Amino acid sequence: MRNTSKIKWMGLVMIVLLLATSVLSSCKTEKVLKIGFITEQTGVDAYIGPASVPALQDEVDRINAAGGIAGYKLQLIVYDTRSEVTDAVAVARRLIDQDKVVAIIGPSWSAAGIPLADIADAGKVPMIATTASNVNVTVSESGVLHPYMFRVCFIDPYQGYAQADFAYNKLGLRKAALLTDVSSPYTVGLHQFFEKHFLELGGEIVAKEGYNQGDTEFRAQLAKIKDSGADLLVVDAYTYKDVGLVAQQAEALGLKIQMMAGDGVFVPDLLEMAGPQLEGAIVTTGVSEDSPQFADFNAAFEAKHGIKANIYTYYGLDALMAIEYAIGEAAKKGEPTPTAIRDALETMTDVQLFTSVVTMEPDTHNPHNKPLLIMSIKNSQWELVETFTPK
Amino acid sequence: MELFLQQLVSGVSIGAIYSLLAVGYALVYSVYNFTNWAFDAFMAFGAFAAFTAILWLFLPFWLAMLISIVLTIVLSVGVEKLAYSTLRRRKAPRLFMMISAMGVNLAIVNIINKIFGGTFRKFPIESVQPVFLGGVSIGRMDLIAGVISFGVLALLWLFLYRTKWGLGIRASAIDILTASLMGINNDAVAVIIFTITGVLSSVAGVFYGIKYAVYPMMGIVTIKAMIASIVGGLGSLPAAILGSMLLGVLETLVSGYISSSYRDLFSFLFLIVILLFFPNGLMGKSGEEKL
Amino acid sequence: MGYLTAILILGGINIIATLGVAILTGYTGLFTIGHAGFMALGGYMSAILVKELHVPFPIALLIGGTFAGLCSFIIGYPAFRSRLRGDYFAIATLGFSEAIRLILNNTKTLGPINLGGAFGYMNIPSHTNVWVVLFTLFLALLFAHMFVTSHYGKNCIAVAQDEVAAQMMGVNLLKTKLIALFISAFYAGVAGGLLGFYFAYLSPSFFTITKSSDLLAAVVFGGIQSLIGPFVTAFVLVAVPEVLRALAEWRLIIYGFLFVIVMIFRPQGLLGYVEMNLNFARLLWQKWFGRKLAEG
Repeated sequence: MRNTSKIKWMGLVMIVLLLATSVLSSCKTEKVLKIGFITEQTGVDAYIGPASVPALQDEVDRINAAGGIAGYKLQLIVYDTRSEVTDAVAVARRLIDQDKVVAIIGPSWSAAGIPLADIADAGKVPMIATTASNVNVTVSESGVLHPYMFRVCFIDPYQGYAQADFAYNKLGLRKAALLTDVSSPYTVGLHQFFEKHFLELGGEIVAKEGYNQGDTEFRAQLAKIKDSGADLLVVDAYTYKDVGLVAQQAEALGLKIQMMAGDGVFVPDLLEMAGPQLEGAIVTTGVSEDSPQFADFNAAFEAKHGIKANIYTYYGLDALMAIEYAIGEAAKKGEPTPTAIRDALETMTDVQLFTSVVTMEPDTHNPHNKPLLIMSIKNSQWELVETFTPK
Repeated sequence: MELFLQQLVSGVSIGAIYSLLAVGYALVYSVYNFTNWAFDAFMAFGAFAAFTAILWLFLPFWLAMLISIVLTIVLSVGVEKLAYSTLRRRKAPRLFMMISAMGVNLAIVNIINKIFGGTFRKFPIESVQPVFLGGVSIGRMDLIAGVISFGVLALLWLFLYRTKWGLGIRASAIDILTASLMGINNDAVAVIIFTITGVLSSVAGVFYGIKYAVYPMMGIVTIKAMIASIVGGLGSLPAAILGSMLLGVLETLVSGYISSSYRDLFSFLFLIVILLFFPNGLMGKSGEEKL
Repeated sequence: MGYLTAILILGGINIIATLGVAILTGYTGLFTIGHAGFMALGGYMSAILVKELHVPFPIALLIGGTFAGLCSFIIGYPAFRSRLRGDYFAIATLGFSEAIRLILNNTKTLGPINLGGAFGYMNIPSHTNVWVVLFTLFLALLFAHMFVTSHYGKNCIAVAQDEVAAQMMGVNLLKTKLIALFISAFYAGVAGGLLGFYFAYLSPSFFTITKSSDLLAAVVFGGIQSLIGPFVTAFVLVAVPEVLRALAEWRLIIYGFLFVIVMIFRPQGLLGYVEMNLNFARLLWQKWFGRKLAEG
């Protein structure tokens, strides 16, 4: 008997909870445009969210204090993906159907970006990926453009090409070893493009080793790489953790080799973890926290929020500012609906965002010719070597 | 040849860490017949305890290590009293105890995650240059870790086979009910076993932290230790060490000579194959003789 | 409304997989933290069948599930034949699930099929919708109920309670465990398939240890030897995190503590040993009706 009433009560509570949330979240106030932000606050990539959310909120507050855009106030709605794709999908749906956002910032990784592009298209809400660089995020495998998906970072073919070019032409290296995280589309993609261009230039790939996300033991692979006589080790890992461990273990094995990595590892935590071991290593990135243009921002940010800004902060702000621009443009023609915002984003030309002036390529929805910075690590600090621009 | 030796050395150093964990696992398993899933958490706790002792309290390494051991013992015994003993006394099915252990693990690892965040932290001791024998590099820290690990295991062996308490524990491993009838205090046995567990996991945690990095999820390596222990043999201590060494070396050799991305697949297949041909593990007896 | 639909679909898929785990862990006492692997197997197989070979959707789901079930024998047979202790089996399932994920991550092409490896399998036709999920759920629940009330189900319960005694009563341990494992893997495989057709995309990163532990958590909280318990908790565990996103960081810590608390104070879970049958409906009716009569 007791069991029956318990079930009844539970069911009632559940239904009430669900109804309450649905009602509460669909309450709309006058002239407020909601912008969704999909980020990682828990889970393996939890170092991404905490630096971005306060920055975006600050920007939104600043806009609202100045009266909003064309009379519309902005509201930022943040959801945590737990670093899981299924959660990213669920929150994207929630933002579109429940919260009725006009635009979404995120996701930060390609494995989520690919399914989310379909959701953006279906829900007709523009989405701007911050750091997802796999080609298929905006253009599907069959070559069809996702009308509602954009990004503010450069894509893998670009970065892989740049890395190969620099290694061969500027550093004079001829024998490369690739250590690939086979579970990351980002890494696999980058290494593919690196290899392609490196071979074109006349270089050789003397070793190809793999590992899986979460592995901490690389000595077996490194010993083989040492044995292969390579003069360059390319580890375009998705997370700085891998590169830090690789550097430490390479040192332990007495492996002295030029290391190269991509923007996925361009965070201060890398220097903290393995600065000395990475002396002389090259990291390619789109933006750098040490650029003088960010000095004031960084100082103010750290003073106010107690944590350091990182590239995810900057890309997040880029996306937000792109949306601000698009809302402004759309408002000139009428009501800033998601579709109008999308149209404005597609035709964005020479707009000043947080990191640089950006023009959106209408046929790929990638930012046009974003400069690529080649950094090296000296004395556990980043040092700019050169800025790469495509020919 | 040099490459082969280098891989061998790497394998053995990994095996040493697996050994500490596998022995701890085997000890709990032989007496209580259940897998202490919270081992994962104890290890991370030990590593972080030492880490904070050095970083925030500026204590020297050996003192930090000692503090870590003491704190982990407190945690381990505490968990036993709070989460396990009630179920044990109630003679709850093993399933329940395992779920309880999983719960403890989940809670502790995530509390550590909440406090410290998921960043990989370098263990705050100076890096030392490795020793080179021929072209083969042997990490100095690995040597120290190896020596200490075996020292600890040797002490454990002495304790179990040369002291009265050790005898009591071995008796409980065979049959806890009969042992208690013979006058062995079950609660005391529990405290001793979990104290040993605390020591082993904190030492393993610190050495793992030094070898790689300190982070909340670091305990995931205990799965490998469990595989090693099963492969070696049902709950037997020397077998756990054998299994660990074997696993460490074979893993590295496979990674070096066959395929590095399939390394973990190999570990698992290894487990299956061994079980098919040696259902009680390599050194296992059919359950009558333990420890 | 789309959001609610998403919850219903994801919740429903979760329930189907959880029912499978309930049969294996709740009824047969075999602890498993690797069912995400079976979901992956079933998911990929059904997706390949529909996308490449144009097999009709429902048949593809069934074949996917069966494939997952057959694969379960790879660990099931050696494990059960050697009377592998419960925890060893759990480790084996974990290893198996991770192995599957590893293989999928490393396999870019399978003959002419582009599986995508870590990039994921893309452009899967989108067949899953709320009605498909609800219908499959209904069938799943029906069959599960029939199974646990049949003598097969009773064998499972006997094995869970005391293997030796069960064997003495003539229960074939190996067969019983293998059947339970097969069914649970089948359920997981079908759930995986539905997931793939919902996202129109499958990636090995969907099927991690986290997913397996979520399934187990549902069974633990829902109750041993019950179908309705895990049914409710599986849904709640999907719906509630959505509702309580503010507590996201504390979620796992709370789960951990709950595991321990549930085991100590209410090991039968929320609705353990409670089985759904028509009695339940009858009692409910009586209660309402009775009250109405009393009010006169």
